[in-house]
Amino acid sequence: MIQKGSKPPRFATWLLKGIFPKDEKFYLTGDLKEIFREIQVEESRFSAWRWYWSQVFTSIPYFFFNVILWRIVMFKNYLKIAMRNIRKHKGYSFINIAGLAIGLAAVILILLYVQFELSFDRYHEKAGRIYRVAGERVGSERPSSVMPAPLAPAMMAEFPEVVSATRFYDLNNVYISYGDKNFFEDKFFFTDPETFDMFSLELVKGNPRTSLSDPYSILLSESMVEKYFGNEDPMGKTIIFRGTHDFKVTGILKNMAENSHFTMNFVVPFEAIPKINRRYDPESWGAFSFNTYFLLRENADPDALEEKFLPLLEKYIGKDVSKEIRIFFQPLTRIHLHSNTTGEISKTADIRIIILLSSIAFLILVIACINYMNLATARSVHRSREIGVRKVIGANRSHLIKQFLGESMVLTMLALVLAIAIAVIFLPYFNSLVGRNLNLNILQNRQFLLWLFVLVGFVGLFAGSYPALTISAFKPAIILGNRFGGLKRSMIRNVLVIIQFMISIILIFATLVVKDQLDFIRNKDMGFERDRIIVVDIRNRSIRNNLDTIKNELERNPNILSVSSSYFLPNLTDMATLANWPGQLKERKQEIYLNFIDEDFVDLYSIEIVQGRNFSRDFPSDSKGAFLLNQTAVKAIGWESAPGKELTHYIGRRTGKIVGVMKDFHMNPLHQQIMPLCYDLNPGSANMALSVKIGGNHIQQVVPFIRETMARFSPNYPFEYRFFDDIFDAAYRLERKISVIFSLFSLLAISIAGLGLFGLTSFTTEQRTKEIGIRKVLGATISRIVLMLSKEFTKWVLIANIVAWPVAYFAMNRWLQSFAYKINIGLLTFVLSALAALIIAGLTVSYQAFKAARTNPVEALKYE
Amino acid sequence: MKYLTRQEELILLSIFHLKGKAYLVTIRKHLMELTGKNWSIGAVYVPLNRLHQTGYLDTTIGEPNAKRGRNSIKYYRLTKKSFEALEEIKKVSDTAWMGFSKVAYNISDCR
Repeated sequence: MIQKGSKPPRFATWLLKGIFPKDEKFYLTGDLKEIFREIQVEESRFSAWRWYWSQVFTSIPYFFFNVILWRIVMFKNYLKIAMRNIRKHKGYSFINIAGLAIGLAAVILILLYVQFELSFDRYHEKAGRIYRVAGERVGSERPSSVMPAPLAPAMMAEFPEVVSATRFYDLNNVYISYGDKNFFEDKFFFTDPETFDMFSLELVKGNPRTSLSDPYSILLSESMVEKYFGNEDPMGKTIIFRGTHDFKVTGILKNMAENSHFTMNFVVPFEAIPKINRRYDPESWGAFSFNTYFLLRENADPDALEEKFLPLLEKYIGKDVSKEIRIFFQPLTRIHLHSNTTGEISKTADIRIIILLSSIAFLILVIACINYMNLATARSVHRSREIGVRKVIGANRSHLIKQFLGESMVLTMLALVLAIAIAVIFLPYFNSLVGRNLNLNILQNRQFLLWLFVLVGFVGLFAGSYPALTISAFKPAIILGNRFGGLKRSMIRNVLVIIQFMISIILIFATLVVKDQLDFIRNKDMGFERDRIIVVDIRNRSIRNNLDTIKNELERNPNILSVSSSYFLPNLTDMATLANWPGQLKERKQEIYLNFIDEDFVDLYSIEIVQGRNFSRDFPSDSKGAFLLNQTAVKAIGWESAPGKELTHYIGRRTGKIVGVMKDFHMNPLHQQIMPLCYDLNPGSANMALSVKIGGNHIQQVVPFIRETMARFSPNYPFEYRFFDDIFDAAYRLERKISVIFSLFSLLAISIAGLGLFGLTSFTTEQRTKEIGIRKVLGATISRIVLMLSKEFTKWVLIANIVAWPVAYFAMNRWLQSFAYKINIGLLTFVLSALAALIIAGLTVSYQAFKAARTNPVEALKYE
Repeated sequence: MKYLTRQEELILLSIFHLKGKAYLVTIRKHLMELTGKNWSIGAVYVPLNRLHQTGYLDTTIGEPNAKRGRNSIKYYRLTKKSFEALEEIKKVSDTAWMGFSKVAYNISDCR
């Protein structure tokens, strides 16, 4: 019997098979294999192997002269014909290549963005085994990703499958100073040394194990080192945190990649928290404020670990609380796109946007491909002779299919080169649109290069397949017999044009709906004033302690109408707690949103009081605890009349009398319903924002005045101000982005479709030149001829409308569901989207039709 | 008639001797044993193919054997035309070789 492993080298066999004549392939490989085995038995495996390979090498000259040479010759011919066709019909080629190039450019940009978004956190070597602990409280709207501080050590101690665990506590707007440099800094992290074992973070200087052993040590990122120290060596220097605590620089952190859901600029040990905040208790299981990550042992099952969490919580937090929390894990690589918890370190992206963008890119590509298909098949009439001759000489169908597919590949390649150029030009604009810093460095981005190849292959094959199949099916006898009057009006081509316009109409429709909804938001009466209000952050103790004095100073300026401090601004109230009141049923739990304000807040923002009164300095009893509720809160609690009632809430466990009821206003963006709300009169220490209402149009004079006033109380305070209007708009940034993206890409789609239609009509009118000439000679007017020529295209657009409307309506209705307050899609949207498509189609068609109709019939008929 | 080359003649004779078991591998082996020289595959296959195309050989497809995996065998058989050609060659060469014997084979005489 033949021993195992005695097969000839597979690659050599494959090469040889390519040389053998087709009908002899099987016998010859068999013969070779037999000889190979004989040599193997008689001599050695090596000599058999050598002999086999020598067969390959000795046949190279034969292979070259008889196989490759002819292929090259044919290829050169195909290429030459393709180039000739491109050059001969410059207009059509331009339309073809430009349409494809624009489509491809859009796809390249979108792919680049999608690739970046998908790459988040994947660069950590152990990314696949890192999870974040998240929890959901029964009855709350959003899950939370912050956990108690002792959880991470407890996990390491109790669960053998947890290799290590770490905690993050991040601060933004931290006042940092070194020498004469003072800035407010973001991305200030308190963390455990385990972080450096789990994540792929690099230290340029310092040792990851020892750098954070002292509670007052700090690591700086490279960019921060440059900002504060320039060329100085930062090691061992001291920087000051919030003007009170000194931290010694013990290491430099390599700048983190942009595609991380957290980036660190300052890193200090977790042990620094109790030094900074006396009230912090490292053993407390009650404060949910720390992002907790853990590294799972290889091959361990995260689901099984999730199950073990309930006993852990019961042990440490107690049975009552743990019943209300459901713990789950978020894989590190899914956080950026799939997580939207409270306590997120940075703003996460939304997978829906990625899907939306990718589908738009795909649709645009389809439109561009259809352009190519339509023009190529329509124009194939001009090439019927070439095809006939090729067939007569002996080309079979597969040769022609190969030729036309190759041609579409060549065109796609040309389009790709153009597309990359377009993409490079528009990249900065696109970057500002998506808020990223992408670069199109194709050679360094292997994966992207691969995607591009796949893209070109797909487009070339998809766009080329239909023309290749139809053209190759021509019967040579008919083509060459000169009875080839004109290509029959192809049903498929009509359907393709309808699809193109359908996609365009859907995109136009979506654009209109998004725009309507944004206008609705912009113009909706929110229930509070938005104009001429400047907001200054209060982030400094010396300012916070002198708030009353500062307010009085500011109000002296005649251009300043009113000044008020508060914790939140009226457009975003992101804090909720439970409320208690006398006479409440025991089982009853009432969630209530909370904001701390001073006496002037309600007047400054013109919030309407419908019952009772506003907070007032004339009632000294207000300072002992006074609340304003909104109508929803009063209704939720079930009071007939609220003023005078007593209420307790659990943030600081404050009790007070209700003095009035506010008319419901949108205390959160319109995505959310109006919820029960309590405004607590607490002008004290916690307030974060100072709102300044300005009279008239004297903003330019007022801003320096505010700055000087603040500087008197805190000379180093880096003064920054924002307009409330801008803050308000920022909540709808995502929607505005979507709106811009939609309008941009629907414009692109419709222009590519228009381009294709232009080419197609110019071709059909060219085909009918003689018919038009005869009609004119017989007395047809120009308008009749234009009508005749545009009738068909109008029909297509109308059919496209009928298909597009329901699709667009359902899709956009789903999008609108994400808003609690939304528009109804009106009849006007339907009409406008149809009209836009009709006008564009009409213009392109009638231009061609007019041109054809106005030519002198003599021109058309003189050759015969 | 067109004379066969020496190679073709030898190949035809090998096929004759192999009696229905003649295919590329056995033919090549037979030739190598006969001549004591190495025959490359091409040196066998090319004339074999030519002979087949010019009608000197018939082929039948046989079942594959264990040595060659799933690839079937192409057996060659002599046709009437090749028998005639071989006979012709034999006649011509017999005549041409007449009088040439081992006795006469002497180096000094050859000069």
